[in-house]
Amino acid sequence: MAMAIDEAFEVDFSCYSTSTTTTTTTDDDPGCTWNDWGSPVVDWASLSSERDEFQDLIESMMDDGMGFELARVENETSNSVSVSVSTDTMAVDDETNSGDSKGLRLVHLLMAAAEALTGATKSRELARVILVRLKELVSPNDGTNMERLAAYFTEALQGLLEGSGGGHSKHLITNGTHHHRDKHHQSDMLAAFQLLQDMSPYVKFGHFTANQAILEAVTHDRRIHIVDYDIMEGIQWASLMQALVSRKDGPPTPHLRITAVSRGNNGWRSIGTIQETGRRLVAFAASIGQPFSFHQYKLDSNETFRPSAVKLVRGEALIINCMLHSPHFSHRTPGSVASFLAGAKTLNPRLVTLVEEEVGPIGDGEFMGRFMDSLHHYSAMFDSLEAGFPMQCRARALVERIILGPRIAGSLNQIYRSRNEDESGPWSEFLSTVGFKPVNISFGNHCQAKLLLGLFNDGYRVEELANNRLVLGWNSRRLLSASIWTSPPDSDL
Amino acid sequence: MKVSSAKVSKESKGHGGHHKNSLHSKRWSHHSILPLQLADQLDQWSSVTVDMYNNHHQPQTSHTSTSRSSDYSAGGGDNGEPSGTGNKWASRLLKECARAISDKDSSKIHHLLWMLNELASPYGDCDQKLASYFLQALFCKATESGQRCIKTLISVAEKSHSFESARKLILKFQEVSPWTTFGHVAANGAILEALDGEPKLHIIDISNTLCTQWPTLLEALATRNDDTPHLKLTVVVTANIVSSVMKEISQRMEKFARLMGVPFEFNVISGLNHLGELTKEALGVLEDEAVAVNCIGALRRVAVEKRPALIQMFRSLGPKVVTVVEEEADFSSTRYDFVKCFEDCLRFYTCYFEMLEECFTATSNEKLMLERECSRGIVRVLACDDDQDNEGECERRERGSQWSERLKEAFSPVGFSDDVADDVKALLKRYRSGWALAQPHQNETGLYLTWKEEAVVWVSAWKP
Repeated sequence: MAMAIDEAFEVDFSCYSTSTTTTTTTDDDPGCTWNDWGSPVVDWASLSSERDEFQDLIESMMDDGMGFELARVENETSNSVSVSVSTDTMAVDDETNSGDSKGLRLVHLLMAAAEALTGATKSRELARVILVRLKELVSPNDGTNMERLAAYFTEALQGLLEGSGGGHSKHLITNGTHHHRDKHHQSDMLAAFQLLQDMSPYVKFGHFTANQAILEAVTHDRRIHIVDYDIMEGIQWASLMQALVSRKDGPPTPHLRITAVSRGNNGWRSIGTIQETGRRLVAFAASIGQPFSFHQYKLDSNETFRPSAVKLVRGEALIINCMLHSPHFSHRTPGSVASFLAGAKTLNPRLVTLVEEEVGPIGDGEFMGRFMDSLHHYSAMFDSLEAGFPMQCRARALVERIILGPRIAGSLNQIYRSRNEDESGPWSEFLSTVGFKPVNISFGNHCQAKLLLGLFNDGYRVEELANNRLVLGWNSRRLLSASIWTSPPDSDL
Repeated sequence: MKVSSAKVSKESKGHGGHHKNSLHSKRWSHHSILPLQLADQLDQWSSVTVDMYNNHHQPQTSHTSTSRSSDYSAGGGDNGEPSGTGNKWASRLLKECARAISDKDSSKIHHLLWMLNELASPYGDCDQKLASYFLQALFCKATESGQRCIKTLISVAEKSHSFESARKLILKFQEVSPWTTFGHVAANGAILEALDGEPKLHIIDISNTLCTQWPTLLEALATRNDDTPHLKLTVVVTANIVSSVMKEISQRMEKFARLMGVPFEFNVISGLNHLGELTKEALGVLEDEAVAVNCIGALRRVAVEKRPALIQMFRSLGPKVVTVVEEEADFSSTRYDFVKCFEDCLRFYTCYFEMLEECFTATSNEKLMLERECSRGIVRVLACDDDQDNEGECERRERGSQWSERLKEAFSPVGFSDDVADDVKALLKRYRSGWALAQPHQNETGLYLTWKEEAVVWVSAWKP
């Protein structure tokens, strides 16, 4: 009997038993007749294909709307933003059908993530999961424009999710690793900035339009004083100086004085410090024989502009220059800009030159609307770069990585932080409110802009949206607005 | 449902007296004659379980999709939440979709189905899996294609299952989780007590356990001090087990019984459209047999309105004991309220999937197969009209309390003896922590298996 019992237990191993353990993991026990599987491993290929087919089926049924027995109802509520997206307003790649549908899918996912982050029924968990999914689908380094754009937007949203919208986004997409924004190599930044200027009119459009207006406004002046809100590398002034020294007629080269407004904190990205910019400009001016002096105006930490602290000289033509479009522009807070422009009014400048990003229709100004607008904006920028330089993928990738990616993150940050605040309109409106008067953009200036665009791809266009306002656009998307203003006549010095 | 763990009542011990023939006492006597290597193996197995447990409690990346994402730094504050259905993204989206379907809000349905489709995956984390399987059901519900889907699922399952794979699956599951073994131990205990002293036994097994319940019982019969009775085992299979599988099982069972020295007869009844077609004659119940009816997950497969008749039919067999094992969920009383039914369905399968996640290793094939097996049930409950002929199958679970109400129409409850309760507790000790035995409140019957204090499986015994 004992023998039988032993055997019984040996045989019994494989079954569930209260008395012994199972040893199904060791199939090679020779004593176990119950255990001799020779079991074929489950054919996963056959199983998994059925699963994926099902998901594909859902996808295709949704895309086609065929066989899908639900009636599509027009829904105006903010919950169904996905339904109201119309592809013709999106600058989506017009590649093959699948490219389109992937692009649309990415847009839907981005919107869903943005919605989950900020919508009525917020869910950080859902946003996180959607972003994980997005990251599987896109990479900043390859794929179509839409895919790379989506990668940067995903990263930007990720930053919002993690930072809860506070402060600068610290995460950048740089070949899969994360860098703090300040750690970009200077040489990389220089290269990227140079490339952007070579590949597109974005930088030069603003500078040239402003400079032309300045030149026209100071034809007989002997002293020019420019207060520059955000001088960055100062390249705008190099070309102005060049224009000043090569004036054929009129008085000898006027003296140029530049006061660069600077911030105490070093949170801004630029290639080098403001002192370096000053030194460079001084050296350049000397080399071309331009009388020049450089001053710095340091703002305090809350960036309140005190006009009285600006040193003015009798007889000089005062120009206020406000470039808010620099590609590597660290978004200034609205308060800072407002303080500057309002303060500038009290100085009664001869001219105010303003360049800013043109914002499209944003619905009720809620986050989602502005998010979508931002998507359109940068989509157009990506497209414009590609259209002009389709073969220079690496160059474009560098520009996207160093300049556009961080700019996207900054934009979204700004939009997110101000999402519950009252919507402020474009700065040109602010200038008008503050009391500045428009100055006509000359025919020459307009022509110059067209000539500049002519150096680049056909898709760029310039529109005169107001007497004093030129707008640079790509295809149907307006991107940059340059406007010229002056102090009202009865407040002359 | 939260039940309190209390001592099992001593009511109605069946044949009275101390059960020296119970599994419990037998096991102790056998332990002393186990060859040493088997005891070692027992220890090894226990430590493997501990390892498994430890490996499973790695950093909380189990909440992100472990199998699909890479270098994702977990941000946000939503990790480490309790495993309820409330906070997770999948349950929120799924419930929203169910509500949208109930409200017939087509654009919302569309949007949610699309989003679920993007985020779901049967290979991801728990949330993704639940999203995947429930998405399938919601999609079928929305497009009224439940029947078609079931047909596809059945045909795929048939193609990929073999005796070996099915058997291996069941055994692996039993190794890592007492979900099924709980019912086996308790039911066997009740059956042995009820049939004690009978010379001719006839057990009618209505289940899909592929007879994994019976070797232990055969062993117990064989090692009883008195004469070994004759055992006739009639297995009633549901339609989706192919006959070749049962043939294989029949051979093995007969062989095993021979080894055990138990006079044995094995019958299979298959091909029924539904259990209601069973009759005393078809089952071959003879007058001199002591009958036990063993239903493991069987009653829920019967159409709701046919359940009373089935129970009456059992009664007509004159059994000494009826053992019922079912899973704790209610898809029956809510079958006309889609959202409520959906919520309990989601709750139950969330619990089940999370249990599987913890009990199996991360890359376990068996876990994947068990999850896939749920898809039919989920689609059936949520997307198929009961009135249509679902090939006779149904999956509308009811809770123990509900089954009790039904069974009380024809039977009266039998309590589980202390010995059986001890057996069950000893069983649970072999598994990782989280499992417990619970006794229901007053006026309720049977025993509950609880996982993290939620009742998941119910077992009960009945006599005429």
